[in-house]
Amino acid sequence: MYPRRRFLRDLGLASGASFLGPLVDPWMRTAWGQSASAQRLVIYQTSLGTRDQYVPAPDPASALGFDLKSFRALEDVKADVQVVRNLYNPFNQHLHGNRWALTSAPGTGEDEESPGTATFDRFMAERVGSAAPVRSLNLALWDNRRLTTQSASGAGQPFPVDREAASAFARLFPDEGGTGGEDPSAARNRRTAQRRRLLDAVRGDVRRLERRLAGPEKLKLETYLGSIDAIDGRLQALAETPATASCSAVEGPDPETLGGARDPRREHADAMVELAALSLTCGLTQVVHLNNRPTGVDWLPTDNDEQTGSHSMWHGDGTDLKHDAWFSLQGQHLRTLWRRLQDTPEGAGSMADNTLILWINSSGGGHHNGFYDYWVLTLGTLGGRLRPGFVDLPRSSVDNAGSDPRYTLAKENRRPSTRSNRDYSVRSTADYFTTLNEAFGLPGETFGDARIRQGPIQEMLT
Amino acid sequence: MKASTIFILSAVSLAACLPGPPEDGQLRLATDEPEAPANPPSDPEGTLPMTPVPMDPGVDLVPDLATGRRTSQLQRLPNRVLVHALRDWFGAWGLTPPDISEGLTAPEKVRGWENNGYALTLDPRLFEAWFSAMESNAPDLVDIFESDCVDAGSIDCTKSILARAGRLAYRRTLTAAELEAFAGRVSSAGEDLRLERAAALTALLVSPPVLYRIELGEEGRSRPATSLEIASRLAALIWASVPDAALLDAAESGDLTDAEERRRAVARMLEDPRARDGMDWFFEQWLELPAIFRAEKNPEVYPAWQDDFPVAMYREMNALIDHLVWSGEAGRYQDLFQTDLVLPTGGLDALYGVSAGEVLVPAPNRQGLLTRGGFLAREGFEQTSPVLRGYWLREHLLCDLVPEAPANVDNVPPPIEPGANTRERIAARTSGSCAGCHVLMNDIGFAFEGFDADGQAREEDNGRPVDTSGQAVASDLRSFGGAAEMQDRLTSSRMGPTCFARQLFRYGLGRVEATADRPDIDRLMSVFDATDGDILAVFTAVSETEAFLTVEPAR
Repeated sequence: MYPRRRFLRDLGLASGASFLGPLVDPWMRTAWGQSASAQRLVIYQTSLGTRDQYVPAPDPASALGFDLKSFRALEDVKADVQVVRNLYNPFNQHLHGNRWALTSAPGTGEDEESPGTATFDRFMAERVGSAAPVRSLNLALWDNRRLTTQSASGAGQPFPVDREAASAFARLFPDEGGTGGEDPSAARNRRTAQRRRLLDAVRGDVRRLERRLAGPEKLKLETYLGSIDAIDGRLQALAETPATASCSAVEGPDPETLGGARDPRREHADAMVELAALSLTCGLTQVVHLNNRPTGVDWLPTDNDEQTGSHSMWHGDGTDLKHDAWFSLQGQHLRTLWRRLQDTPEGAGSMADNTLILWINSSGGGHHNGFYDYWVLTLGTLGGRLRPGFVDLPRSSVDNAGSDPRYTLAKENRRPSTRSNRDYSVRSTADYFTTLNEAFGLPGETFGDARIRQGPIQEMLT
Repeated sequence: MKASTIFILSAVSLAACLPGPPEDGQLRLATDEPEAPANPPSDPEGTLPMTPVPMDPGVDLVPDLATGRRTSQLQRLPNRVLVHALRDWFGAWGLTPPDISEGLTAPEKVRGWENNGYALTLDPRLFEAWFSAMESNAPDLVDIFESDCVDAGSIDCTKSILARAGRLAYRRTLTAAELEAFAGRVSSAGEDLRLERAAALTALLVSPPVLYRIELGEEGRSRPATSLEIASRLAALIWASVPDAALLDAAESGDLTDAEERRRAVARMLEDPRARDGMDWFFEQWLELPAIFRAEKNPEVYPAWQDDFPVAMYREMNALIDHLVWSGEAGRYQDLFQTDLVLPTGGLDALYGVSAGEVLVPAPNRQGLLTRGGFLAREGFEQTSPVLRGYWLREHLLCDLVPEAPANVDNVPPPIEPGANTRERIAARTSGSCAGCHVLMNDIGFAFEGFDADGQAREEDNGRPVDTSGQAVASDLRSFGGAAEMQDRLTSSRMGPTCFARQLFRYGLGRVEATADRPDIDRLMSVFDATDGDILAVFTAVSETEAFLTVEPAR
């Protein structure tokens, strides 16, 4: 068994990745109730827009007819990459990305701070991830206390985000060490059984109270019971894990290491990517949302050693060096995840065969007003249903004074007032996600606001 | 109502936008029947009829407003209260409060209030964070309380542990049956005894009476709140927390249903530093102070804007309110809109034209909170948003409800073009059928056109002089010449102070007021009048309202 206290602390977080893969017992996933061909979805969502020169683009001289530009880390897995350009989402915000870009629908509440519907990760969690112990994970790459979630389970139901790699690891892979020389797995089972009895007791208390209530008040307690069931389900899954399985025995990132390292913020992001890979390959979950939305990234190279931060990149501090480093890191993260899945056997192939990794920028194709120029990148073909390569979708003119939903559905400060009568994308992000439903084997399942949805984008499919 | 969706409203909403004055001139609250539509006003002389408080036809999450007032009988403790409760409990127990921030998501707001009892649910992540916090701390709690036991291995000791921790957590003394039930889960000895006690204590600390304020009503009729129920309500109102041991003592040994005892308890609570927490939370929600954090400015238009201005502006608003309420002199509602103090830190000295410093100083031409960056700079990326400023003021300071913009409305901000300032562009864009609703917002927002979207004072906009005059129709604010006079009108009107009272009611009761609450609002206004707008007096007077002292009938 892997010594628990060794994880990354002695090795350094970044170099720890290669040590985790071999720890995973492929057969333990079955013990957690997954089928051998379970599908997976990883969404890597970043913000603040992109600049054209760093974005993959058609290039007849490049392999497969397109240049990966700053995502060159994916060069050796390019045959699995699909880039789709020219999508729009009128509900997105004018500035820095809508928190709810993954809904393709309007938000609710004051300033639309509340989601109007479920985001795509949570939507898929109910469809492809429901058999896993954890239906979906929502991990923030940067330990940013001001970060808010960009994932939602439904209207007015933001889905909480894990912001600290160490605590997230502890929660997902709890240390159940025994006392007095007790076998760790026996100790874990004992503690799990105790917790489940405890939850049963609380469940009984809630039921007794529920009988004294009626109507809306009673409904409130249903969420209480649902919360108890969620914890109970995970405890049950852990209890059924074979004692020799090692996924629950690996050590998580050490908070002291994160805090004391030279580049703590970048290492935190790497640790979260590692946690995502571990959770997927251990079969703990089948849906992961990685939230890459920093307010400052201190490790980015600078010309003058004065200005740092990701946001200033788009406002006077946007050196080529910085932009390239920013997007290169994202390419590296995608590659790390993909390689880990490729290295994990599943059925006759690997986990990658049944996984889709989706990269999307919540601001679309520009820092401001990018919501008519979305581009997305995926890794994976989902069993050959998605066609790798560059999908260059059409654009057409929209009249600001007309009734085109691309214009009329955008709200107030979200319309590009200085860019009238320009060409806009014809297909929406709702079409895109609906197409992914087809690729996941969910024909007829639509996604996003119907007013911007035409149907699946056939160019993406084989 | 979404602030960002209100820009231009068409004739579709006209009927709802111009309520006529109520025939009886009485206060109108959430459940009043809608008025018949009125014609758009034509009032060049500023002699529009005044409405004491305009119709408020909105229906919110309260399910049965139409049948009268109703306070939720099962209110999940709001996030703020939960955090403060952990601070207070664990502080009393001599332990570091656990961090549950991972489980705190933004709650659904009702009319801007995040402590609405109907909207608060128990999110799975919150429960998990709470469960983890209690489970990991329970063994330490067992050790602490066990050390006081005469016989550490006895069942009496188990009950003592549960009773002592449970009293604060339940906000009452546990019943014998409850103690028996929890203690009945403990049967082992030795190390296992400690773990089983910890498990029983965890079960207690995650049970419904801890996470919810449970106030079950009687069938068909309301009943007086009990002394303990009043204690919990007082702690939420004044401390944004839960009762401490002294308040529970007062509730259990005395009788907080008695007005005199209640006044003594309130006086003691106001002396406690936690009283600032309650007041802060009220102002934060009423004035939507965190809204400044959504400010984004086009650096080409506002090169002086700095990314950390929102933090400085937020600090300033809090410091100002803190000073006005707690500095020793009775802070008045009127002071909020008449103060000329600013906090010139974080680069705001240049904004206000005063020397930098860490203390509040007077600034020229900055009368009232509404001329601070924390209000002025919330909206507008490259130009001011007078419609949004006016809308916000209507809803938050006048308790009016502006109908939502029709779905097909053309709501793009008018492009900045030569020869017209923002007011002129907005006026042109919102003329005709749009004016029916925009008349409610535009002029109020125009009052602040003397300040740019980054908070800078200005006399010209796009090369044209600014015009800050206007009329606040469908209100008793009448006409005004600018931001200072507009704020004077807020203080001299009836509508502004009444809204203040209504917002306090919403905060204190955790729900929107209903028609049946009219006497309580009148009661708060009586205190307002008698104390010349003393904020603290009106704030605490909420605890004397009938609604605060009553538990509504069970459904």
